[in-house]
Amino acid sequence: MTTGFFTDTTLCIGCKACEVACKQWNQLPGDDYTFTGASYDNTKALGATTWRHVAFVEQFDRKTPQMGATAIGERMRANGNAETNGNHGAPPIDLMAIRNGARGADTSTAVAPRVVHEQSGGLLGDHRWLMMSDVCKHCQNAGCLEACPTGAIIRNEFGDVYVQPDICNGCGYCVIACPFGVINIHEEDGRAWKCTLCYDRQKVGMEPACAKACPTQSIQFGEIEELRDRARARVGQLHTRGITDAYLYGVDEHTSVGDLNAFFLLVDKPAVYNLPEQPRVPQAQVIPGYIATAVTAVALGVATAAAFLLRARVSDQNR
Amino acid sequence: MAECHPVGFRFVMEARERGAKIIHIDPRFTRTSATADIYAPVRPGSDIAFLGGLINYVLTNEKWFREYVLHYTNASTIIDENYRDTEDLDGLFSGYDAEKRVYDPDSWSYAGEDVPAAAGHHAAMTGESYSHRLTREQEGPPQRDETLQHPRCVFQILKRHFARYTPEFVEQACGTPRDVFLQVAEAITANSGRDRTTAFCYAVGWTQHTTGVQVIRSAAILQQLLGNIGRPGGGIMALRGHAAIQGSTDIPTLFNLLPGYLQMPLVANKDFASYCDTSESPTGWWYNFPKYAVSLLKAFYGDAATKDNEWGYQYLPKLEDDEDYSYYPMFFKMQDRKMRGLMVFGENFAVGGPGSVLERSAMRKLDWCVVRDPFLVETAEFWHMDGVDPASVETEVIFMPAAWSAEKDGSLTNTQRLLQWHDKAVDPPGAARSETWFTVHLGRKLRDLYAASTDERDKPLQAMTWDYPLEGALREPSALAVAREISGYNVKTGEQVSGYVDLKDDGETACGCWIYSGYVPKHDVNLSASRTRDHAGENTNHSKWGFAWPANRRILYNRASADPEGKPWSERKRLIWWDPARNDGKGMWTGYDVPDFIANKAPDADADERGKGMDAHSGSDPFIMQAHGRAWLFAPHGVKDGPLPAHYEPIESPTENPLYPKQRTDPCAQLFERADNPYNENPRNGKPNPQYPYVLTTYRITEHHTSGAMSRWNTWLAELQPELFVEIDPELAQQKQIANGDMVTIATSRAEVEARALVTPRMQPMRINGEVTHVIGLPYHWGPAGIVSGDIVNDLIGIALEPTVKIHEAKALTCDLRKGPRPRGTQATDERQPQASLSQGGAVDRTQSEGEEMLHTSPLSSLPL
Amino acid sequence: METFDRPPNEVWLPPLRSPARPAERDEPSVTYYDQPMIKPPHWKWYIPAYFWLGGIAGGAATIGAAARLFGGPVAKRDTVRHARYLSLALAIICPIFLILDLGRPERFFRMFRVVKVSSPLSIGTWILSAFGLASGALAVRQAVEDSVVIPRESGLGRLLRRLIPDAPLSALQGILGLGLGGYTGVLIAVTAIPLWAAGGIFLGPLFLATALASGAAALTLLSVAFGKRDPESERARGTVETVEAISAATQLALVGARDLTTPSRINQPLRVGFWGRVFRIGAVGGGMATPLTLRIVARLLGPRATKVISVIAAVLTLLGALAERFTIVEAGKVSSRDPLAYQDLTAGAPGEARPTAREQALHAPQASAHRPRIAASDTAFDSIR
Repeated sequence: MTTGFFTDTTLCIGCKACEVACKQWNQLPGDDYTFTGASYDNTKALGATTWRHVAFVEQFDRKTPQMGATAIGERMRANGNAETNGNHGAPPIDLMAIRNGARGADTSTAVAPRVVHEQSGGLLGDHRWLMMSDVCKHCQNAGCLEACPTGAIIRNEFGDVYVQPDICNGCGYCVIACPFGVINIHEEDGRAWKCTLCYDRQKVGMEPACAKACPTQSIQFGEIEELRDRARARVGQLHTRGITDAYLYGVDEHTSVGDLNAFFLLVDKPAVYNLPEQPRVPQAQVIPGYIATAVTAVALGVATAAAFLLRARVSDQNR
Repeated sequence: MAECHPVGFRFVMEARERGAKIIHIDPRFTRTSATADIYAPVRPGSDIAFLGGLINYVLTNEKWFREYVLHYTNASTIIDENYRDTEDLDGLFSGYDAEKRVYDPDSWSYAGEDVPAAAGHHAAMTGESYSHRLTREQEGPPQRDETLQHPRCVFQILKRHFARYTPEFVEQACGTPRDVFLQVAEAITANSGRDRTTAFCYAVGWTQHTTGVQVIRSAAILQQLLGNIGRPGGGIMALRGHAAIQGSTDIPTLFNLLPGYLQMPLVANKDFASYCDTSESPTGWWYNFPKYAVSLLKAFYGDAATKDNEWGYQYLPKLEDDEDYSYYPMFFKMQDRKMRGLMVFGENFAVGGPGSVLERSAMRKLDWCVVRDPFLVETAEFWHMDGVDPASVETEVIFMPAAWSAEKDGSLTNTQRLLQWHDKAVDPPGAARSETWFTVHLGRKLRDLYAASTDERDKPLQAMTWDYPLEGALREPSALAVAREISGYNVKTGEQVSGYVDLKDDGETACGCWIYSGYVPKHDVNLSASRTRDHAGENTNHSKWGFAWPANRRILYNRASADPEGKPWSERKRLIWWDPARNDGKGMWTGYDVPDFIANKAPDADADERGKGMDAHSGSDPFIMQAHGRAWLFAPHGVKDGPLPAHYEPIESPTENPLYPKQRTDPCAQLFERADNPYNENPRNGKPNPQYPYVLTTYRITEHHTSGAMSRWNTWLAELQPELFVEIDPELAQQKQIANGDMVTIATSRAEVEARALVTPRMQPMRINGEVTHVIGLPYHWGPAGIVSGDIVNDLIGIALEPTVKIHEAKALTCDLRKGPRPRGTQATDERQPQASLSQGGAVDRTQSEGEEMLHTSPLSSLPL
Repeated sequence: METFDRPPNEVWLPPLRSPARPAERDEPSVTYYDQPMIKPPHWKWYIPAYFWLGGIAGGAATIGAAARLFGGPVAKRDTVRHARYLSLALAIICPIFLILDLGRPERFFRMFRVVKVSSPLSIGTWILSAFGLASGALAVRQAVEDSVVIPRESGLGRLLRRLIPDAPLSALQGILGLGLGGYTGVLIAVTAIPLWAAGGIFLGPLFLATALASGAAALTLLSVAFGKRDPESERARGTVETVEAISAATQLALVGARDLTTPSRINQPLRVGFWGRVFRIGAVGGGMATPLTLRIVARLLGPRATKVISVIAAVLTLLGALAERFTIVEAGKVSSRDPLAYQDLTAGAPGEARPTAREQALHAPQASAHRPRIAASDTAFDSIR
């Protein structure tokens, strides 16, 4: 049986219960008290001590940037946010605009207020605040697993990618082999850590802590095929409700990473959530790499040998 | 709601998935707005204008539920001819005394009679007695005009009163774009009526205003007009701030109430009879008042409470008519050294309450102060905050570590009046103990101390029943035993009572809180611990999950879910109905909920005009707590600042009152015009002060809990929101050249606070009365202690109270905004300390014994931020 | 957190937005507050240093083997000796560096639990180990030949010479040397780091060529230092220099090819900025082009000038190799922090795109089939029981 997560971002309310439940169950340290200024996201990214991360994306004036000529509006338009669908701007653009605007902008120009003028809640509105709980994808072709030189990273009986802490020697090769930037070395501990999909809980028939804690079933845990069907149905349902941006990320993929055991229902392109459009498993390069190197090796080897042979001949003649 | 009640919000999300329309009305675009179908921005402090606009929309577009309004509300009742409306008197109702800033409500009453206020504690608010009215009551029912045409009938008054609350006015006063407002109005009216209902959920964003009660009244009026009260999916739901805040008003921590909303006796109530007289209503449910009062006294004093000694009534403390014992006056009393000692149970008002500068300085004037909390919160640290020299603080501070909810048995009463029992999981660590433990053992020690006394005033201590069994090594009092007393028992047989209908006024029953009566119906049956849930498809309301007071009723006044003939308004919305077949042909109320009505009183039963109590109600008067059994569109009594809500500006507002230029603010708002409580502007109809041009509102965010007392000490929560920040709209940020993440200073006449700027388009400037108005948002979870620290936002807020229930105005005030950190050494919260120094548990002993040494060792007195 | 090299408790702001994406993208660039999409390598200086030394060892060993098998008498005598001692010395240092870089050094032996073709690190471990053994054996043999410690004709000496087969072992060492020089390139190519993954096919060959060049340079210096002054030795060194020249030419070709095939945004860290400069001027200019030119010039000037020039050229080559190893690793770290570069890497070829939302909706079963039962559902585990 293969288990996994179906994270439905259309149900996420950004409460971060998953982050806390995960850290509590796995006894991960709270270790980063930095204010980011990036919406309500002070967690920033997944890492060795953060196995769930809720992303916050503020998308305002998606459809009607002409409302009120504000510096922000201008920038957002300049950055192509205004286009009706698909490519919405990311918050940094606003923030940049504000910063640049703030630096030496003439304050005398009193700007007309831009009011929220149309149905703005929900996913169809003019303004959206997207929230998405990110987690290790437990890829079908997992870069970290393929890269691990010690065999510490395995696929466990639930079909999930699991790091055996008693084996890992912290070489760190998995860190740069992960196409999603999930797994990382913990500086003090020295070993690589990432979401275990609550292996210990699963073994005793409990669902992972984050799924258990999620109040709105945005995080759903279960048998992967059943989850995929549920998710496909959900996409269809959302489309019938007019949310035609909705799609599944990590299901029916034809990338080298393959489908993801932890997949997502998104309503904007992956980059908005800091996910790669077409993730690729690094090991796809390994055989070509070997061959190219071998060919070069032969060529240079022969050249070297030749150099000595010729020289040897020459010296014989001289004698 | 998604922000502060994420777990409860799951039901909203479920409803959304089932096709419900979610509307969010808020000054900020929050996590709730993100999930809502309609988001309507509104200026803080303009809620009555918004709701009034909805009421006007309903009335002018004939969207009101005629049959419901006609039969279940006082729409048809005719009001006294001396009544004058705010529309007639430029913002004042008739009967205003400008000197005392109070109304004489006589001219508001029903033509030909006075009407007792609801909920029985009108006397606590008016100090008046019914005795002189009882006769008038008997002269018959109030005059009504079923055609609703009479110029003085409530319905016509209502129409005239709200006529000027047009969508244009709403846009002008609230800054809500006209079309968004209309979207909301259409959505709400389209989803009300026989087949559909609309529910309102609110939190302190509605209540913490000088007009707080009137805001809720507005919602009540709207819901009555739409027929959304007493029906499934309807109602007005208060989202309380803690798991058990509802419980703390049911079994109150309030100065003017005894358990079960029985009023606290006044000095004027010389004897028990006069006490009952002021509280008991001749008609309606409150006719039963004496039963509940006697049972409560029996629970208090047991055998010492006899008919001869008025059930121990004289043991009760009495309220001075001219004294105000409510929360904020308490601090002024401390400040003026009229109050010498203080016990604080799990509250952190040094951070969590408006005017916290004053509150901390007031505490420093106490002789002693006991603080019980799981963590060493600021309220136990006031003696070395604000840059004061601890040597100059006389107060003896005693910190008692408290147990968490998982470390004790007990019940929580949440927002829908649901009692849920929780069992102890682990023993509390170290010296930490539960509130029950502390209170019971304190009581025992005191009683032993005074056992020998013959002094009359020590009688109450000697008389009180205080025999709770102590269990385990910690000698923890049995919470269940307390529950049994609350639920009530027969003093003769010792049997538990089955509910408040069993309670007697002859001293045969004892009950600690009549509305909770019956939640422990048998000695070892605890309904609040039951956890049976209904399964999908079952058309019930999980009535076997916990216990909802009163009598496990899930929906109050649910008689209104059926039409006057007793049939459900619609199949879709059926809840209870009259079943003539039941009760061997005599008929009976039945349905999915416990009927909130006399079970066998037929719909067509007539009111006995000379009858007392419930007999005076007809079979189609659902609102049994009201004297006449009908809901109040018009409140003839009990609300101090008027029978109808009117839009007034907050005490501190950047604009004029567009509706009543002559009466800018609430005429009855309770003000404290003293040096230690300055206002940004003259609070009596003053002009806006250009020095404080921005609207400031405060709120909570998901990651923290109120003053942070339970979250700032938790690494996992603290790291999620590590710093105090202020949400600013991009335009304002640009004008002030503030970049995202800059340190900025927010200033009022009380204090200055610095915070990180979070510049976000989720905040939007509004056009109020033609002026561009910027709203600034501040979460208030931070203080100097804890793992993450920050300035204390409540220092910014002054103290001005709502007249009826004395809630403070914390959700709408004015402020100034400057770029850069606040100057050091100038204002209250300058004393900041690294968490390390504060989180050392040692502070407890320090405060008690070695106070002097630690002055020199403590970093608190020296270190700047 | 690891991804933010900034002291804690100091405010972090979304950094200035990186330059716009390459023109070939029509969509506006979208990042998540400019957060990196992947994690940077944790490698300390040990690793690039190892790349360098391991390369020298591998290159030297290869040349030594070639000299042993195909060289003239002098080459057989000097070049081989230098190569064998050098490889042994480096084969001892390299593992130490690698182990020091581990998060849990005491667990280095866990590397020998598996042989994993998919992991160049695993393969490399085995190559390095084998290379170490071969180098050790050959060094012993060489020592015996040179009568160091053990006299050549002593019993033990004879025994050892019989036990350690010179020619086959040399051949093996030579081949392993090539592997040692090349696998490191593959190792970094097989990662998510845009700078390494894009055009990664050239990295193995480039690292190999660099290894051979630096190995040759090292031997050149050794022969200048310890070799005899006779013309035969000069010629032997000439051969080594020829190998170095060939490798340098190969390096330049590979660098060029890689530059041409790598998208500009991804290649940025090697073109601009500090590491870009070090790479272009130091590694490529100073470490490949210049030595190559010098050698050609030397040839034209004839034997007179060679000695000085060859020393300069050799030193430049070694330093160049060092610079190349460090710049590529450091530039890789820079690259890992650029979300737009990673987006370019993972943009996918035309036609490779995932099914659109609409397509997916079409696959979907009857929409009514599923409505999330939020309030009702207690555990999702029901679904898998």
